[in-house]
Amino acid sequence: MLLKNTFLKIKKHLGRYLSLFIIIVVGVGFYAGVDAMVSSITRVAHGYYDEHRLMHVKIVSTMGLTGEDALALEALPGVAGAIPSYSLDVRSGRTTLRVHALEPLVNTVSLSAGRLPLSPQECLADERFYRVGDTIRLTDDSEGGLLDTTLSVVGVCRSVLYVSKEYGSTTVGNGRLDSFLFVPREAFSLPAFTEIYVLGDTRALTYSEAYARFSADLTEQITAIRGAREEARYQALSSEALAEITDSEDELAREQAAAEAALREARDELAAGEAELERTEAERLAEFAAAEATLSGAWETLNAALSAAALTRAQLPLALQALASQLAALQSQLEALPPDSPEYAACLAAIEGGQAQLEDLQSLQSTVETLTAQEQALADGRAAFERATEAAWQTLADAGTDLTARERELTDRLADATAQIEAARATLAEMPHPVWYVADRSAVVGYHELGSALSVVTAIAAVLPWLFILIALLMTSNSMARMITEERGELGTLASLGYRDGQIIFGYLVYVLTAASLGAVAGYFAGCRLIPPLIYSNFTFLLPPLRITFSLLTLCTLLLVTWLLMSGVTVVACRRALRQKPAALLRPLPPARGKQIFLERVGFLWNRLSFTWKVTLRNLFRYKKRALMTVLGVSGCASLLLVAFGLRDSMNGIAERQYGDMMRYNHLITLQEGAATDPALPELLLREGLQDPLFLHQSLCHLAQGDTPLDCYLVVPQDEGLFAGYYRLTSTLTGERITLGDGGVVVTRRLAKLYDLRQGDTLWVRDRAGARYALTVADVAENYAGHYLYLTGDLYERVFGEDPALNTIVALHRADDEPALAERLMASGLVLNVTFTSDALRAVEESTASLDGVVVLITFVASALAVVVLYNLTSINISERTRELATLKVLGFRDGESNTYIYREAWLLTAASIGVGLVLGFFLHRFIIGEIEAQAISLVRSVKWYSYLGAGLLTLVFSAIMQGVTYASIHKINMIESLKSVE
Amino acid sequence: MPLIELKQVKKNYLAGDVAITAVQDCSFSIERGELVVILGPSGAGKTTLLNLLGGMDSPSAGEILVHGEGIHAYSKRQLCEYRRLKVGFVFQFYNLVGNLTALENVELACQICPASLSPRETLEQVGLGDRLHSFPAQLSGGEQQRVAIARAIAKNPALLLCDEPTGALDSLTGQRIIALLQKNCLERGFTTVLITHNSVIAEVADKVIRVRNGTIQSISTNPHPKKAEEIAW
Repeated sequence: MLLKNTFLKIKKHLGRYLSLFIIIVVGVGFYAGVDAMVSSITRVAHGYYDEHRLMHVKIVSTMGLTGEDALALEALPGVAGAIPSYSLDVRSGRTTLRVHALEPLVNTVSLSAGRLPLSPQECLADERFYRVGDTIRLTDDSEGGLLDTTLSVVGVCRSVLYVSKEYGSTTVGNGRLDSFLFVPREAFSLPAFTEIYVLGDTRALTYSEAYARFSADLTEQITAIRGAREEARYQALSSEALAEITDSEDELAREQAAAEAALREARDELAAGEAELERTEAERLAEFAAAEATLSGAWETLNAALSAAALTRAQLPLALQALASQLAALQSQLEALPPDSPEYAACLAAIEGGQAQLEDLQSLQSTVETLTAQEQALADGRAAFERATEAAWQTLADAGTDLTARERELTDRLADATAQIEAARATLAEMPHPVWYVADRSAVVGYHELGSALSVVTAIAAVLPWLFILIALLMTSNSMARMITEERGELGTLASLGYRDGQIIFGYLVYVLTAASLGAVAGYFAGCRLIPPLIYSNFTFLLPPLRITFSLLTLCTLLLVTWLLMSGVTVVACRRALRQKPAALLRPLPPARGKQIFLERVGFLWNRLSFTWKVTLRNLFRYKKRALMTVLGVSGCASLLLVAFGLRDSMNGIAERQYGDMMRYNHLITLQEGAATDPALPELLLREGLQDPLFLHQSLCHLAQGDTPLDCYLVVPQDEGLFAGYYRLTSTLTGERITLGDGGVVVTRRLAKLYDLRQGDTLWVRDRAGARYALTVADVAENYAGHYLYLTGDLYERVFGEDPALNTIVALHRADDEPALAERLMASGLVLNVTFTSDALRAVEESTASLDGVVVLITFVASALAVVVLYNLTSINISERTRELATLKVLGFRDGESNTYIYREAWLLTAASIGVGLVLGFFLHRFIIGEIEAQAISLVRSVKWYSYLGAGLLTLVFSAIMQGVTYASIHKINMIESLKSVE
Repeated sequence: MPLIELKQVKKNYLAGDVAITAVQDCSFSIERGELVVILGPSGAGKTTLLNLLGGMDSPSAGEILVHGEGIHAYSKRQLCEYRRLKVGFVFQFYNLVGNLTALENVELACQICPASLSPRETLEQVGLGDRLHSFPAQLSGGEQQRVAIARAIAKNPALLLCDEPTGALDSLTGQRIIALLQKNCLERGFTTVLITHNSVIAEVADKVIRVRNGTIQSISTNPHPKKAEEIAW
């Protein structure tokens, strides 16, 4: 029967049962959810890294790596595997991609569609941007590192190397890496491996302390053999180069000898030719001379004959003709003469004589002709000879010039080649030592940010749920105590009927434990089911989906704890009531005594107050316990809201403070080696409109102190005045602006905290070669992201013994298109990389956006808490004062007036509670920030004014809503029922 | 014209599935300045009638006219106004606000009535002039009831309704309370309706309405009501 009574009670006052249920759901749910969230998300991260065999350490070298390096690493204890691999940054149009070699043993990919690539023309692409079947054309593979520049996408995947949506920076293109590709190893044609991934032997959960130690140890070990490996590589490259040079020299010598021999031969040939020509010439000239002599002789003979004939050569033909005609005339004469006449005989004799003369003359003539012809022939012959000789000499002369030219050419080329070899020797002599860069998992883009996000979540999980549980406990205890007080009549009746205490308590236990069990179970599942995905959905990291797991152990523990607490509370309240005699229980509870409150003594103030205010104030002090509960509940809500908003402010504040207040440049340029002194640089800066460039030396150095290894940036400005403009450093010790001095180095806050550094302490720094240097701490600067050491150029020189090499510029730019600016700067060949502050800001904002889920969660739960608490309290309020309210109704108070009567108190309490809550929230916020900072990032401590306003207003809103809800209850009060006398 | 007139008033209400008739066929009238006692055993319907008169409830059928106005048809708001301005109530268990002093309890009622009397004076009139700043917990039952009466009177209502005002008091104190009520009725002309199951008290009334089983048994007028001091129980 008692049980039936209990169940009826539940049914009748469902509101109360439900509010109890809901408080437990919220309290347990939040605790369970937050607890599950931390472990779930950590498990996702760790599972992901583990499944895909994420490397523990990544090593890159400025001069490439070899198989021997890998072997040397594998020989280290604690190293399970050292896998050498390739990667290359290339461009495809405007996109910058990092091409990785597909490794089956480390950093495996998570294939989401398609298949693995099998040939150099195939590749795996980023699932976020590409689809199977796409073709990627690489437009800039200047090193010729890949066999194929047109790749077809045969599969898309996710890579464990890229956990953040921002892929980091590169030295190619505009400096921002857009995506990645995976190709088979054979697709690379590089002279050496670009990196080695080291897998260690550990079972430690990533991000845990144990893992941090493991990672540090491994890094130490690797760093220990680094020097030797670097030297080995140096030697190897050195001797390789030297061998090449020697080969070249030999070849040069050989070629030189051959060429010279050829030239010598040619020269000899030429000389021979000349000699031959001379000889021939002389011979022929002699021949000509002889012929001419003969001819002259003949002419002389002829001339003699002619002069004997008293003729000149010219006259000869005439004489011949005359003679011929004479003869002809004589002949005709002869013919006219009788043959026997003496005249005939004379004539005949004359003719014969004349004929003989003619014949002589004719023979002279023919001799002349012959000699003339001969002379002509001789002249022709000589002319021809002379021409031929001239041509031959010319040819020989040309050949000579040619040969000279070839000889000169040979000399030049020899000089060139020799110079080249010299240059090669010189370069070899200047070859820098290879440098290894050993990075742990922070080489994975987003690894750190995820770790930080987890730390924040963990810190919150460590603190907030307890607050909820505390409030839930208070609320439930109050609720039960209230209920038992109200039902004293029933208790009295049962007691008077003879029910034992235990039986009566049992009834209430059933009531409370059913609510508690249902609430705990519902809360557990709701919390585990809802909270982790909520937080996780806001994580902007590329991780596999969250698997929600339920732990029976946790559920049982929570259930047990809830039972114990609830039972304890109920039993205590019951026993207190049951200590009284049944008769006393049956009598109505005497109303709380009205008393003068302190304020009444303050006469002039009290008399000023209007009547209703007096009532309000008296009521407040009369129902102290209830007032306290309200304050606790509402202030709890307000403080939680403030914490939620404050956390958001703190996280956002980092970006603002670091990149807005502190570092006032809007971009940072990393220069190529030697570019600082390049005369083209100032021109470039001017052309791109970069104002007030500050040159500085920025390098990564390793801190060698204590057992927390740390890498931090060493910054040395060229111009300290400009520096103060760009780096607004504020001291955490004095609160003043810091100006760099030569007395010591300025360290950043977290660094100082980690190493417990104070002004005047010594900080040990290690450079790449491993040498240690001591620095004195001059001041500690406020800082939120990264670790920095700031010092003057003079101090640097003093400590490190050399001038700081200027390799960085920070400046302000006015460009609208930042990527284009970066591209232009990098295309100049003077700039290695450009980082924009806006990108850093965006990265920070993105990572803090991950924690939006947490803020939403807290806000939601705080609101739920507020609603439940306020409902609880106001309904208790109403139920206690029903009689009073009914009386007012009877007196003729309108609903609104009755409302005011009650609610003035409520408002006053709420206002006071909000005030308390905001103060409480302030300290809670500080505390949580402290917890987070101990783990991960630095956070801004201050909370914006509008967060306070928001928290307060939101709480007010809930109060208002609650009042609206309970207004209805007041409205419903049945005067008659409420005023029924206790018969 | 009588101050109050009831005509064939019927009131039933649902308790779960059961329909209960509290009163039916009730008709009577009350003149101004009358002291009326409604007499009847427990569960007779007296309180129901008082509630109907006091605008705390509306009849299921019939008419209730006050000052010629039919309050039976009043909306909740109108009833509230009616209670505010026209009615003063005295309960068996006083129903004072424990957190307020005697004076403040009366002031509470006065602040919503535009035509109210002076709280201080009213309390003095009921003989509590020296207990103005005491809290109800510090007052005896009789004193508390007197405060309640003062509260009702200070409203300057047209109608004073008392539900078993002496039920929680001993006979001597009760007698004094009745005397007070009678005095007010005679001197100030407050129309008073008093509920009791104590027939002795009926002897001070001008009119006695006997109620039994939800119906009016009889209405009798008393031309010579006794003085409160003359009765005892």
